[in-house]
Amino acid sequence: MIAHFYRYHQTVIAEIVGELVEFDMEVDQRQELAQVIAETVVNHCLRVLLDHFPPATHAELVAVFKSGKEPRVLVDPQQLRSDIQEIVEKEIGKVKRDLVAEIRRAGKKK
Amino acid sequence: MKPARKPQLQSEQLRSRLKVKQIASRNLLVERHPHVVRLLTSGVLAGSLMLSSGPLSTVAALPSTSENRTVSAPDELRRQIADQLSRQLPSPPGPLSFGQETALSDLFHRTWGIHSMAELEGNRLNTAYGLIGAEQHLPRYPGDTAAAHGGQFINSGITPGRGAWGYFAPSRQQLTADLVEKERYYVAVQTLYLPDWTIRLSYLRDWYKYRKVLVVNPQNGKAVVAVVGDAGPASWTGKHFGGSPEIMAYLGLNVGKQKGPVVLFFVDDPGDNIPLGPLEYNLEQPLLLPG
Repeated sequence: MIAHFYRYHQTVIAEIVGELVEFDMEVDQRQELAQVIAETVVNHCLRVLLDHFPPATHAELVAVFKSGKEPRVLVDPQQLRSDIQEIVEKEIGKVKRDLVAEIRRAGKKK
Repeated sequence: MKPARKPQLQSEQLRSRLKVKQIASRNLLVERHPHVVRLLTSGVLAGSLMLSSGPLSTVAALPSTSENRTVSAPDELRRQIADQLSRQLPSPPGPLSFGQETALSDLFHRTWGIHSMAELEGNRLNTAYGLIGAEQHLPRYPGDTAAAHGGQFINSGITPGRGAWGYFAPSRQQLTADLVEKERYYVAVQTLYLPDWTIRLSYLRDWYKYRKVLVVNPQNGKAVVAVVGDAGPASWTGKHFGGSPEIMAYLGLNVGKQKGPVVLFFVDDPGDNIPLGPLEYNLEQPLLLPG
């Protein structure tokens, strides 16, 4: 389950950052923006996961998002509410749309 | 011809707006889960969460020296891989030369940060590039059913007999999440046609059991990490590998004749750190905050 979330948020970050490639900008500038985007998505993802995972797992969860190593198995899926996946994906989807819209808006202005 | 110039972006304004959102996101996190601060005190993430101004403290696993690296969206990455593979692979699918294998190994490492090769520890399949066909679910324990696998691939059915390596677990109670993943992402390879299969049977049987592999569809650039979970298919089928319903669906090969060409390399992962399933980003350069 955690592996799913980890992979999901990584993919979302990559997709948002991919939007930057459409524009002409310095590589270092793109890197900095990519880092800001990555942090924002991580913060949101971590918050929603902590909202829904048992407190006993929080330390391990944070460790996962700090280490950058995709986990194998962390929490018994039986312990989790069945709708967590939907909640997380909805929330992160919202964040993604918001960030992508910001990028596209900045690209349209003169 | 000169390449078309990309549109400009108001990067300073965008940077400010994104920074505001970043700060708001971490404030919300800390406000909602104050104990996170304690959990993060020794880490780099703590810095990023607690510092509201100043330079970014993260040394995200984004490329640090960016001259020779680019940031790509997953779709774009897949297109690039497919494009490169179409130029490097022979037609029709068949054994690769040493040079081709090395080039692909290097390409896969640069793309996904994964060490994979056609030959590992002196072992190699008869071909690393061939046709993969759809397989059914494997029974994971005595009495297992297709319905018990859940998900959207129940209609794929379940094989009447066990896989070449038997049940994944002796009983349903002993089926772990790890074994569930192994059955979900399994491939069948033609161990029975290896020239030394009968000579070194006991060694090879153990070596191939749950051996981690990388399966890449060269037509769309999609890749998945799987394990060897069964032997086959028979040579008369014209296919070289078999893939679980989940693998075939992800690779986009669960349509029409349910078969297609793939590159199948062994993954060098002695620590068993690489998770099974779709590969959509560079494992050595995850886009988040390293510890």
